[in-house]
Amino acid sequence: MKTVQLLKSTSRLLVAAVLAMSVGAASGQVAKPLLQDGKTALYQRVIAAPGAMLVADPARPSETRGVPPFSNFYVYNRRDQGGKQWLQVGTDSNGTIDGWVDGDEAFDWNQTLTVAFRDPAKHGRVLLFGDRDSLKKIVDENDAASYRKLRSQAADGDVGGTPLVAVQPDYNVDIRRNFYLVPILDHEDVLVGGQQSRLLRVASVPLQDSALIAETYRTGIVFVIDSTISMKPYIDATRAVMQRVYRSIDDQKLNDRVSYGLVEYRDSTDAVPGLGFVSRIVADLGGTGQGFLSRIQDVQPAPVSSDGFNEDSYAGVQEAVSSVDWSDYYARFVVLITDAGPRDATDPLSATGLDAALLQRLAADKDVAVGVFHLQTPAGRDNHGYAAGEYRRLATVPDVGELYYPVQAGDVDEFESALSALTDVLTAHVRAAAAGQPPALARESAAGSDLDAFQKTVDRLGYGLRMRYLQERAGEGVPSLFNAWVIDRDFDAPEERALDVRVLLTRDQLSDLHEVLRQVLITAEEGTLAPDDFLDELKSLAASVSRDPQAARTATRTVGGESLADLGYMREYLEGLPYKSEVMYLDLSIWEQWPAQRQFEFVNQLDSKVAYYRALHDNIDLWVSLDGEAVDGDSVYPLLLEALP
Amino acid sequence: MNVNHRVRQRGETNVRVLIAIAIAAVVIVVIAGLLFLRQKPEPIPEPGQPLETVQPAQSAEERGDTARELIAQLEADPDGPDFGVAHARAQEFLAEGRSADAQLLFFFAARGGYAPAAFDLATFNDPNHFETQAGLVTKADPFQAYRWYTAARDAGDERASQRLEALRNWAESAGRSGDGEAERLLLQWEQ
Repeated sequence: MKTVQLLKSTSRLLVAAVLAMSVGAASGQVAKPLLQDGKTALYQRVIAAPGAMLVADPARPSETRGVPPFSNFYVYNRRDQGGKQWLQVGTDSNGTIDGWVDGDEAFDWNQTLTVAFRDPAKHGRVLLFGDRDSLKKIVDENDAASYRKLRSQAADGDVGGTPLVAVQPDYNVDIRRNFYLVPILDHEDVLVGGQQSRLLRVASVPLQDSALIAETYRTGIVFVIDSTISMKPYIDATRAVMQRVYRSIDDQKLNDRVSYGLVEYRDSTDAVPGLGFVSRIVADLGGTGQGFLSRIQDVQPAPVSSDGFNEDSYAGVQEAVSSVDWSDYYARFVVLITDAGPRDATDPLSATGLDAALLQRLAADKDVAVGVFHLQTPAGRDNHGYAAGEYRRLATVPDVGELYYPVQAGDVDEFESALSALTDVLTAHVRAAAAGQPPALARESAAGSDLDAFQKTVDRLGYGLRMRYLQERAGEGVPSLFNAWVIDRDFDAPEERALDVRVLLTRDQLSDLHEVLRQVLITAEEGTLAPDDFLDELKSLAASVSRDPQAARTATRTVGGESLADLGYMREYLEGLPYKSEVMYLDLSIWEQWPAQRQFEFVNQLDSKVAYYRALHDNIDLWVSLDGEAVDGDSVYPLLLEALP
Repeated sequence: MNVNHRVRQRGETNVRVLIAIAIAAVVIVVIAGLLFLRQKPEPIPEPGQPLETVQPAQSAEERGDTARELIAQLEADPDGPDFGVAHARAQEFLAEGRSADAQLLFFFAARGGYAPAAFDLATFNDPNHFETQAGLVTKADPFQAYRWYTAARDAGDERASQRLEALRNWAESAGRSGDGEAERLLLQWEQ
């Protein structure tokens, strides 16, 4: 039985260079996305289907870039070209254009509703039906027995001849910690076991046997370390870090999922025979942790100095890429640790004759990502500029960024921290893969330091690799998208939700919502103490908080009363969402006659939401940046519909 | 048999029927006229939402009129309201079972920064200390407890810090059990 693949939605993780176009540059204005029909501030949104490609120009659609399934885009333009509609899209609303996507490879997602599955340990797993009518029939007939039988079949993997196409994963994924997308494309109200429920059409992607995938995803990491005379403190630090790493791997029983290797390099023995060798494998992949630690113990700095400041680090990297047996490892990393610049292709003492770009290509051809710790010691001050340029090129991972980390002043503690950060992130991905958990990025947070940024880059790389692995194992290169129908309650426990419907609100929208409600709250609190003027105050306030005077006339209305919605407080981004507002449609016209207790209930409902929105807004760690950049106004949070005002 | 009498009676009946019909016609015309002249309701934009209404209070006591009058008097004081007086009266009203008046005065004093009132209001809403017998609120409201304990603490009430810690423990425990409200409340400590 297929389970649903919970896809982390990012837009640029696997997109190589941004196909940026300077839209509006000539006029000096920032381009804005197209508005949704009838809206004044809500932009058109689409999601990329699996296999969707971006092109710089619809007239030359052969120059393409792939995008991860379910990438979110704003629509900036629509154009008919070659018998197709093309959408010009960008990952934010600030005019950043990523390119054009075939309209058939993107689908509208204007309400930004998504499914959040609940813990399957506490609720029955949600069934995904391949057609609406089969599910609707069960719902209309309140046929709990059939639903139960289908779930039992799904658990046994025996769904032949059933209307099921997938089932919720059997493990829990907290969407607030590990963001994923199961976009809701359509919804309708139904009754399940007498409870108001929602029948949802969702877009989803099948995940093949997760146990098999977990079993075969292995990670290999080879350190390439400079063992010339100046490196002793860093070799010792690497040894200390690796002792901790192996302890952690042992504790988590990940020994067969991840392996470390070691290559040491020095420099040309033609120039300085006393160095002994140019490069050599100290520990190959596949050995035991004990073996690795024992070998690293043997790495000793050369007894003599090399010739000049540059050393042949490329020889070490080439040795690692070409001579190490990577065949058992899907995720492949080479980590260069050096305090000197490389001998490039023009250097007569270079053993490889390669420059950074060629070596990077060589590594990429073997699916090896190269990271560099550049120890910028005071002794090499004049060499750092040249070395940094070379190593940044070498450490460039297409679609991800640079895995380059400069250790200022060659600080040993900083190096140790950075190396620990790298191994921690990679181990986390190994652990998640081994547990059969879907790929997910660590919580987004503002990149406060170089180390944070480096760690995020490593994380993106690990995530991208896992995504690619799943997609390849899904069968046809990219997983196929399918429509599925689900209900948000379970027949066995209809009083509780089996899944939550959440809306992706942007940080800007939440900020707007908070500010509007905060002012309503102040007015309402004063209205409990002196109720006679409340409605007039509310009307005055409505005029000032409404960005558009038309809003009060176009917003969803009640019938014949004076509610917050009637007065223009309903925000565009809340309209039409499938939830029952606690406060928006209450008739306030006889507020002064309400029992005081009911007024306080109204005020307290507003108060708790205002406090929650503020806390949510200010807690940066909770926000997901769909474009992979730092958290900003376009970043989103999957807010429970019940938490809306 | 007096035939004339019967005829006269039938004639009187016919007149009454005609009068009744005429009156009914006039009433119908008047009603129709009123309906015609009445301003047509605005078309209901789609999707329309049903308006939810709240039943008016049945008494001045349920509205809290007495408390509001007192609040108006206190606010009229050129030296500013004496929140201590408001708090004292709130306690009296509560003892008398006049919860609307009590709630308004507790709220007025707490909102004005009077720590004892804020502490009391928090306690009434605190799931760790909620007692139906107190009569002020019908169910605990952890957000309100948080808000008013925080206000009491900021106004110098040292007891409030301990209560906040206990409230946090409650929220962590309830959050682990899947209480969404408790989970949302926990965010207040993470700012």
